[in-house]
Amino acid sequence: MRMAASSVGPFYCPGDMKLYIDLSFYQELKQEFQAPGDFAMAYVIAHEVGHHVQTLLGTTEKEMPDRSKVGETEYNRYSVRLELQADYLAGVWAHHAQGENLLEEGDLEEALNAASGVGDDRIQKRHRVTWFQTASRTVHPNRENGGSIKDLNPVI
Amino acid sequence: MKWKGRQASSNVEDKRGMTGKSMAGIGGGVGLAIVLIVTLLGGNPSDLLGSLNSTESNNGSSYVETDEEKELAQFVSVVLAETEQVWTEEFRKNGLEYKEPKLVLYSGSVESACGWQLLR
Repeated sequence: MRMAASSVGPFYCPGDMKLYIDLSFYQELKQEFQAPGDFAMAYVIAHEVGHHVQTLLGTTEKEMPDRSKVGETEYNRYSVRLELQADYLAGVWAHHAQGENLLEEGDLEEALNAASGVGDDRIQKRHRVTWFQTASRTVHPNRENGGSIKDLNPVI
Repeated sequence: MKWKGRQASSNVEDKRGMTGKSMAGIGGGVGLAIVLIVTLLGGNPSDLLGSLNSTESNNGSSYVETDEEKELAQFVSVVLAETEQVWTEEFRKNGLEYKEPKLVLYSGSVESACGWQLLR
């Protein structure tokens, strides 16, 4: 077992298939990332669940190279792809939530603020917004790909 | 989000207030040495591990939940339940089974199976 501190932010661990969230992140979203609102938090959860979906579908294992075997640049390239796909999967969820009439005015903007605010320097934040937006606006994974969620694969 | 009154998830593990210290608190090398010594002396090392784990769960009293956090924890649970519904249905449509993830609420620090291999 390894320790992780709140400073890591919310995360998903493929090894035990659990999401880890310190609720103080809600305040961080508001104060440090200028992304207030409950739907900003909902986006964060849906993004972590996206990593779980990737893990169940085998994407994480396939896309996540062994850090001891590849250089940092290549490792980052793959992990950025996983992050952006998780944003897309969060958008798929938001699309459904919208269909269920759960969204209030300003909710999608709250999520987009979180998508553009959170993340490290490896990720071009505008890409996060694009992937979340694409899915939340129009896309149903089955229809978009003419097939299976197994085929979900953002090209960046 | 209109979430109040909606179904909450049963997959939330509340570990707020726990320090997350068990074997990690002793440190890998020393911990291993203790286990080895106990075994050599004819003892059962799992007794030792059990007693360490029980100390961990007794630390829960240090955490006091504010009203805002209580509501936030409920919100997180409802959102998780909503994702369970959506992904169970998407997986089912593809002939797959969605295994629901657990969500661990923690405060300060936490133990997971992941080192650097965690996804943010």
